[in-house]
Amino acid sequence: MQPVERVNLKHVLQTVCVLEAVVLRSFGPDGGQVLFTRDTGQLMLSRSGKRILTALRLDHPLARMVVECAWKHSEVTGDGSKTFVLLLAALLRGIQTEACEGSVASRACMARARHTAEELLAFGLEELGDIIGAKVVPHSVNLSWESIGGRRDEEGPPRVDANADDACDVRRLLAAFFDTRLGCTHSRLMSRLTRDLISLWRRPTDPPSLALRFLEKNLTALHTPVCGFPARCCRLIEGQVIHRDFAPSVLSDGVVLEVGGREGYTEGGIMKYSVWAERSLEGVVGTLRGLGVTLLLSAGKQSEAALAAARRAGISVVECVDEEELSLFAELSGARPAFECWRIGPEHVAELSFCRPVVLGAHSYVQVAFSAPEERGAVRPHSLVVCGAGEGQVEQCARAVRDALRTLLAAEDDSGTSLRPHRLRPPNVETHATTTTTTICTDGASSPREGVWDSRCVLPAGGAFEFLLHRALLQHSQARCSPTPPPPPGRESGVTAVCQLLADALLSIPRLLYCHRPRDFLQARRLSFAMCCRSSTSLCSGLHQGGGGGECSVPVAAGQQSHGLFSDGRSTSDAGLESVVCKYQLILAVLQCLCSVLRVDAVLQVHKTPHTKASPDTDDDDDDEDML
Amino acid sequence: MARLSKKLPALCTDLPLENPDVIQKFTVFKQLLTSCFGPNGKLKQVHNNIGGHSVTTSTSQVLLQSASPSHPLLKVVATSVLSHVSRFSDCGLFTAILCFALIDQAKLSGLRRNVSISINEYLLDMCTTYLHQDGCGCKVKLDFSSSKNLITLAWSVISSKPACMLTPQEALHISMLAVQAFLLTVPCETPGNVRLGRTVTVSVEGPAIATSAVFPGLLVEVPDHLTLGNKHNLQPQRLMKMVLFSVSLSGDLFEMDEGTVEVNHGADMESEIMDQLLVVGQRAVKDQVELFVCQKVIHPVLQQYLNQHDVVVIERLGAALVEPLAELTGSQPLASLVTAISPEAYGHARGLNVKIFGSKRMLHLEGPGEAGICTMALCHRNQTVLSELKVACQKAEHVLRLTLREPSALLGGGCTETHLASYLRHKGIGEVAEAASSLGCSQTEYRLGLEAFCRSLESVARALEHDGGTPLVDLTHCHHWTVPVDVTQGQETLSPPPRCGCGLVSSASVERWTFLNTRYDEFSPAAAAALPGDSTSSQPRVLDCFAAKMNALQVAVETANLLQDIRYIIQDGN
Repeated sequence: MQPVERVNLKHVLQTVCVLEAVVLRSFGPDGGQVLFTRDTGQLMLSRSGKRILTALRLDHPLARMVVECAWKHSEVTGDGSKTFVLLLAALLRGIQTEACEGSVASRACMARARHTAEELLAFGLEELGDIIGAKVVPHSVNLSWESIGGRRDEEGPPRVDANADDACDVRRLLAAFFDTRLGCTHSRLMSRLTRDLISLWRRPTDPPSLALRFLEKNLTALHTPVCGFPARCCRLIEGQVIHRDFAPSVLSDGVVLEVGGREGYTEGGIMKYSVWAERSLEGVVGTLRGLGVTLLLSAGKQSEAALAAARRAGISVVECVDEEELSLFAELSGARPAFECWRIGPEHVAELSFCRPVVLGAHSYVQVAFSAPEERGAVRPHSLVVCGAGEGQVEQCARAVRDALRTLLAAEDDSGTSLRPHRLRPPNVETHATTTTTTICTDGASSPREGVWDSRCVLPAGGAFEFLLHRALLQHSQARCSPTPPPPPGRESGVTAVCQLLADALLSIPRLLYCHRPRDFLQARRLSFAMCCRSSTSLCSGLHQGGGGGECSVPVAAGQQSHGLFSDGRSTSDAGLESVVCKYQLILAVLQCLCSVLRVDAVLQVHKTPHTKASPDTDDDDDDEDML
Repeated sequence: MARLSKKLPALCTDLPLENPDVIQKFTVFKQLLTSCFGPNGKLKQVHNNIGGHSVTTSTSQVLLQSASPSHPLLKVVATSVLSHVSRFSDCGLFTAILCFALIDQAKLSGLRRNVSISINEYLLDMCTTYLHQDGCGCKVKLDFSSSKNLITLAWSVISSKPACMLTPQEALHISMLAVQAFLLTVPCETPGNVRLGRTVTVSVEGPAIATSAVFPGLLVEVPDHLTLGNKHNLQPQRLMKMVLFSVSLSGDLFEMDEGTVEVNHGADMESEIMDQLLVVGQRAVKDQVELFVCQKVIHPVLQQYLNQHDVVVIERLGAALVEPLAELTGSQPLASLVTAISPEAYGHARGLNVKIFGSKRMLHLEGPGEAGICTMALCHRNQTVLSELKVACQKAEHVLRLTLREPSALLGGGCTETHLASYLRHKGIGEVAEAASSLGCSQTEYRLGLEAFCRSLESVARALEHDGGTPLVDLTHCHHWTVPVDVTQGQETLSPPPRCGCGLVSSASVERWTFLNTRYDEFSPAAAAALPGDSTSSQPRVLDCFAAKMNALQVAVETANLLQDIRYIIQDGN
């Protein structure tokens, strides 16, 4: 048995501060990239907090616990793990100064800190949602998908510009995301491409979450990485790209298509086997020809003889197609994969509008486009071509797109479970809320005091949420300090302190965001306060007016318009958007993590083989067993 | 459980570009690449301690592939350069040198990284718009009616690879061959969608470079004992029927799937297959096939049989040549022995004759019509230079093909870089206020960033000189000039060379020069093509591929931005 390591507040703070220092390097739009290397020589680039934290492979159990919490959070929302760590560190610092006032013994200090953390969590679970609903949400806008469904630029121009429709909410939300993930140089192009991709895949009648979920699931098959070109060559191309080339020397334009399993032969006898096999092959090819097939996709590898037979029959063959691509293809084309070559019928055949070789980078692929669009509504399948100077950049870009989709999904997702983790209703209550509803009304009956707010609320990125909530919390604590009926004494002072603590910690986020440009910090703060002073309803309506006209200007009054410029020339109307729900979830996750970190009082180093673990360890190393 | 070994914590480097260790590695790598640049570049010999042959090269592709850097940041540069080169074949070293120069200059300028990144991006946009303009002063429209510019382009690629060890005449010869091969692969008859043919390169060690040649059709290496019958020698242009097999005819069992084969007692599989082979032979003879080609091995008995019937047999063609041969002759590769050969599977060839290159005997085959397939036989003294020459020729061919998409070229010899730098200075200073406000930085920051970018471009031009020559720039066209070192030693006043780096401007037409490193008042550089004087003298002598250089410029800026943006390195040792 190893010596027991007592955990005190200082240790916890130190651990979190180390994480903070790492994460801070890539925080916000001014942050930089982090480069990982593996011993295999693989290079990866990332600004995603989640990847950075997991790549650190930390030893310290507390740090691992924090990383795991951050990881789980960003798994849901696709973003926010850096803010998670920063907020946690800020809260811990606040708690430390408060709990260790005077020279208190470390154990008492720890106990006090634990108590504060628990109060914070209780506050977060019970009151924070209402405060946000009452004070922050009125200043927000509903994420509108209007422009995304309404106007689709056919084969949009590949370069930037098209400012007018760039102002749509979704693009701005994406832009804010890509700013922090890819840097401001590429965020414009990538956010536009992602927006276009979504709008092309979305049926106007369906809720956007369907398209988002579909895209997120199939992104691997729907994007093509291309190295050696600058990132500005990223583009969308029509149809699906099958990431294989035609089998040699067959070039013909296909009209009809067949999804085939592997063409197999059954077991044979001796020499006559091959004669028999070729006969049977001829038979299969004959059937295909009878169905008018000119393109054969196959998951397996075909033999030379099969290729030659197909060639004679004028059938192009694409072999070794990835299962995932094949299933996507089947879904899009409506053809069913054939598993036995003897039973190929019309249901295995689909019609394509074109099928042609396409050279992307070093590889030659097959591009297919689907006909009969009226059947699938207005969905026009497109694929994303991701370019970059090297593999690392391309991979980073593709990952960012995936995470962006996840973030949008989280902002769009209105199954109330993720929104209010503490009030889990039985699942049947939650799930019947259809995806089309815009508000969450599940809790209406049980707790009427709760503000009903939309999960799709968005606020301008760059600290607006933090400023607003900061102010709201301060107001809340003041209101609680001087209420007319005197409340139970101990509890109320706790709430005020807790409000103050959280408010201060929140403010540290924009402070770090603008650490290179202190003037902008003041500017941003002033704007959000200006936002508060105005009556909330007029703000919202003003926003909507602006949004409808395409020139969506975020809460800047006419008088302040001239001051609405940051030092880097961006006006607030260019600023991105971020989802309020994601932020709320983030705070709750941080508070929960804080609580669990502070509840640990000792770390035991155990050198046994961890027989309790039945499953092989996956990405997240679960070390909770080591802690008491 | 033994597999659950403890994972090592990762090795982290904070702010790598400020780490002295990293800076030193950067400098070494930069010097290594810079010293290879251009026609006077120094050669590098790479050899492995474990063994294997050593490589002598100055091309970025070969160098970076054989000696890959170990530091992660340098790896990023190397992969960027390699993937650029794999797409465009040219300007690999340009990418690397510009990238390093941008990083160095950004550091010297003392700008905050985000500011310098956005200024670089902005200036890159300015460059690309200028280079795409028609009035661009460093661009030359390619004229396909004369091969002169094409040869210049090819020559620039080949002569910038000093490891090929070519004399000027030899370099010209090879460039002409490259252009000839390129022209042979462009089909003239087919309307509509044009599909380029291909060039097959055959390298022969030993004979002089002057014996290198380009042939329409294919050259297939044949064994010494192959002789052509009299009728081939007498009528070389006669069309002859041929058949091409892609399946092995050696008499072994056919390729089969996972199924099992049960051999009954007494069954003689070999003789059965042998019989089948002879059936194939008989059928070929009956169909009057005169050339019998197989990708793999042909059984000697079958060979013997075919030879007896005056059929020319070629075996072990190799997978690489099957497709060109099928295209050339119009035959369909046969993958089976048992099905009857359909009439359209037969192809036709003509012009059968044997060529001898040094130790190699090659059978020359031509197709019945225009197929766009040609063979370049490259000869050189030894293996090392030959492989470099092969690389150079492939690059030249690729560069020539790229001109079809974008029929223009950029001035070489450092002139594009100096010209572009001067244009940027002029344009950038002119609109400093708008640029600064749109970038969100101060005007001073913008000026610093602009100067850093221009200096980086100029340092690429400077990198062309390795022997201590003095780089100059003229104050009319802003082209790049180099005063060789011995001239400066002898005389007090500098006398510029007769022609600028690209050969477009002669010293007679320029009045003032300045040293490349010095500050000069910005002005709008005149386009040199509008030069008064006879048209023969104002032909550029060095040209760079437009598409390759554009992409290289963008990749270099993007990579430099990326490197500046990297704040943290995590090295996982597991």
